[in-house]
Amino acid sequence: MKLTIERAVLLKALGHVQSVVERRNTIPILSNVLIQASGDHARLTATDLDMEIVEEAPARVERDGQATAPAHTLYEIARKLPDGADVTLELGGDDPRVFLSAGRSKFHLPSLPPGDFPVMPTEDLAVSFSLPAEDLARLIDKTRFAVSTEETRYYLNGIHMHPAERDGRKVLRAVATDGHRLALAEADQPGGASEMPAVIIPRKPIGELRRLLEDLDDDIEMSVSEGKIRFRLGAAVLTSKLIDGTFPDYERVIPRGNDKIMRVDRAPFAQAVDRVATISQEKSRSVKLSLSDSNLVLAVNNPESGTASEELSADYSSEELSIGFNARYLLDVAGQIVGDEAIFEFADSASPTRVTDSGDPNAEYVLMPLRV
Amino acid sequence: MTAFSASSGGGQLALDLTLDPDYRASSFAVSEANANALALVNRWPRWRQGHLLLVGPAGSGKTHLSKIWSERAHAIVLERDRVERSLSRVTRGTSVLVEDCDPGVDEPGLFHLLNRAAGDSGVSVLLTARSFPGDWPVTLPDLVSRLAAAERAVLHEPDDALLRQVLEKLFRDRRTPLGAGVLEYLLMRMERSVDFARRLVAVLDNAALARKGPVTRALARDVLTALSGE
Repeated sequence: MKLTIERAVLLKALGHVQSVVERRNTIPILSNVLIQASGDHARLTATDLDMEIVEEAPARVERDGQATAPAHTLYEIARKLPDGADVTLELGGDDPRVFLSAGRSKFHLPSLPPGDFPVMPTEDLAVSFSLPAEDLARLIDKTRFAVSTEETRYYLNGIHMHPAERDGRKVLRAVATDGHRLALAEADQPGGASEMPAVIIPRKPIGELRRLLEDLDDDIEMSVSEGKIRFRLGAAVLTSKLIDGTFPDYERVIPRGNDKIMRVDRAPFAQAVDRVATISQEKSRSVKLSLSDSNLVLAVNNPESGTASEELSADYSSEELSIGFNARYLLDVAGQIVGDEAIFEFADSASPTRVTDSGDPNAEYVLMPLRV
Repeated sequence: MTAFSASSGGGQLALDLTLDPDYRASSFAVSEANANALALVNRWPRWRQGHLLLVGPAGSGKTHLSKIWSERAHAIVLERDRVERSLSRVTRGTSVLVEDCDPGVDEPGLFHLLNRAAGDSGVSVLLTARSFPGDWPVTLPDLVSRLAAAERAVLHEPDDALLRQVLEKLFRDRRTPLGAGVLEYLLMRMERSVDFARRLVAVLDNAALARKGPVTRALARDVLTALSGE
């Protein structure tokens, strides 16, 4: 194999695939990227066995063939090469190493047999549709903060996505919860998505997908089966296994009848929560909200580091209520709100609170309180 | 949900993220406490007078067993307090399930339904209840005598073997992560009823979710203490 590729093109393609590669691998070849040269392009593949990203990039191919090289090392080299450099990658002859040259820089990198590189079995991903990149990015952004990191409840370690209907409108819905809070976002349902099975997309491919969406304005193609999901985003294709589990019946925990409504300006609210939480306990990050007529007091009482309070005006006319929340959770939700106001719907100090966005009817959040 | 103060979890409360219970026939735990009842239900359609009364305390498996039967018999479900107005749905060969019959059953409706089952219409009726008909507030004399003569399948409070299987199923239904030895710890100390097991698992699952970890022995001890103090 011998190919020459522009440094910027190589860096971009490696940037897209290399983060799939774990820093520590018990299987050596998983540290490598597979480079396949043919026609007028190079094809780069990285995998961790659960997910794979393949990206094609234009290249001048002198000799068809394939090689593997350490992904992170290759990325670091490409990053440090001068802009505008042409990079030549070569494998052949008696030398089992990959030879990289760019201007006066020359590297010999250890290689492993490309035939050993694990390829994700292709299977029929029966349901396929396209949707705007912006919609998918929104579904991810509005929900991923609530994905659980507790490995024992593996079925919460991802975003649950499925076709749904709200008020007669067909939507594609994304939901995530860690048991303390829940986030739900919807987008117009793309044609062909109604047959999609309900899936749970794991946290890692969600992160990779979001990065790939950064550079993209076009539609993306999404293909799904019971066990796998594939996203075609421009020159990159991300394929991932899905979480094999059942997502809980989340609709039961979204309170629809809470009658104590508070409307509060998002930015001053978030800033005030952040300020008073400075002295909250590290573990619970507890902040107490005390509501009375048109008035909201945020308070923290920490025996070790003192007390804090801040008063805000809020649109509230129900009976007085005191309720505690983890400040981190309040800030996470406030961070997703695009409208001027956050709308809180409370029942009491021990029941789920629903939060909506004055500027986005397609997202809602549920927060469980803290005992204070 | 029982309020268990998850104080060592920093006071954070958790969403009640239950999953749909697993009502498949293969997951019905069998022991001496319910084997006879299971056999009687499985004798369908050869029930005496075309109907069977399934009696057992809360959580003893009435719902699970009746779901298994309903699926097999393609049964329709009639609400206990409006049987008469749904009788038009009961045609030749229909299988009917009426649940929780002890309080507020539609007496004339149930009487007509049992009459149809007793005839040669091929109608089958499964009734479930927590108590025996003698304790139901039924006043229609003909219905009282029909119920008194009804064939009965009885589910008893669980023995140890069943309790273990029930506990395992309840934790499995909620996908609750369990620490080593927790199941044995609970089995040795808990109240011997399925109703208690249900409450126990619900509270443990919720408390573990609040703490973002598995159910540990320490948590099991705290929750058992809290529940037995109620």
